[in-house]
Amino acid sequence: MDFKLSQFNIFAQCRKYKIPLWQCPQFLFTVMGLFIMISSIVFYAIGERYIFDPRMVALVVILVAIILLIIAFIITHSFENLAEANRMKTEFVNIVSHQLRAPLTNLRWATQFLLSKEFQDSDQSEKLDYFDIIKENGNRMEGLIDDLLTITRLKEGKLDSKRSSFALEDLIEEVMNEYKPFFEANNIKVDFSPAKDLPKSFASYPLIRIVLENLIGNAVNYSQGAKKIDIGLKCQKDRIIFTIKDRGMGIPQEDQKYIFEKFFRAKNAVRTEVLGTGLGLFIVKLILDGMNGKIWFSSKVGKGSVFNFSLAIKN
Amino acid sequence: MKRILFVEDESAIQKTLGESLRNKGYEVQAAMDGEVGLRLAKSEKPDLILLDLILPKLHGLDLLEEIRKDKETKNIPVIILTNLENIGEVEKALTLGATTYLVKANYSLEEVVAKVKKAMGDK
Repeated sequence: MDFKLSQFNIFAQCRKYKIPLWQCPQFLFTVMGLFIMISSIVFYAIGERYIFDPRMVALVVILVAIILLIIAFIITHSFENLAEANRMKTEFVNIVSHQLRAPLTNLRWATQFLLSKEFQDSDQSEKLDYFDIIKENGNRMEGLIDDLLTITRLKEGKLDSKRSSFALEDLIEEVMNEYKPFFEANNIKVDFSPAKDLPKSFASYPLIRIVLENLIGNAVNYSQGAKKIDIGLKCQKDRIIFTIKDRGMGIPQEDQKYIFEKFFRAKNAVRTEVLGTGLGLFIVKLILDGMNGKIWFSSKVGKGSVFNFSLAIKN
Repeated sequence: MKRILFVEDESAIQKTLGESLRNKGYEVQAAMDGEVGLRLAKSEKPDLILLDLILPKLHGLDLLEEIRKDKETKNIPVIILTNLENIGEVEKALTLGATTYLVKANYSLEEVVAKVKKAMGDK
């Protein structure tokens, strides 16, 4: 094992783990060592003075033992946290690899099929189906990588999370304008009716944009032939509340508790082949949790879903 | 004509591998979820089952277990075709009597077709 001088820099080591100092094993061990040394000296001094009062000596020993036990408990707990983080990372890498492998296999096999001898005599329209598979799976991989990068940047605080005050209705209009061709391609009418004289929201403009893109995108993707989506915005007490209602496939009751989990996709969504990474709502919740926002929803299979989120307003 | 039941929820895989097998002269029946797969396995009694593991409605390993329990289907060769390669899944599938366990990402389309032909006893 290589030893480097930098390994003795406790603060640098703790920064490397990206955990607070009081959860960092190296720092806690140092604190415990210092505490043992100081308490030994203090104990010696007290022992000298109260040598004839064993109760005082016993009391000090008990106090020192309690403090040492507390520090040892925090150290064990921090090791457990690090081990758990490591386990979760491994699990995450496994899931991501699996999620990336599926479209990659589809791409490879569609290409190999197009190049196969048997396929050379096929007609043009059949060939187009395979090019569609290639295009669709390329997009699927791109979407997955984009979502993973967003999550990593969010967790490392590298996305612009600086809060400012802005009119949420303007941001919604902006996203709706951007998505206009997407609405038209899906033959969906989106009705936006905000309440009048709304106060400004206080949140990160670019991150709330990601939230809106995900929720609006989901509403369209899961509309499944339904023609209308309603978006509302109102103020309640000191919060501004966004609502989006679709009339699509809805989320099965048994799946509802999992929908904000990483890589979870409702069974009916997978069955009807609506493309998705299973990361959109996880990202939405991650952002809103970090902005002191709240998200909730109601849904019924075959009737549609209503997603709401609330944000603090500018005081 | 030998018949293959292909239980796979990815339509792209159904199309590419399914067509390749049809081009080799097999009759391929598609099932997009585990429940339909189990129903077709029992009613059609195919010569071979190609089975994915992560499936809607019924997991591939549960489907395999059900097939092995049934007197009429217990001897049908089953090739597991998945992107999962955890040792736990591989061991469980082989214990339940899977003929072969193939990880999709590790094989080309041609190689999978060759494995199917071998399992069917064809050259």
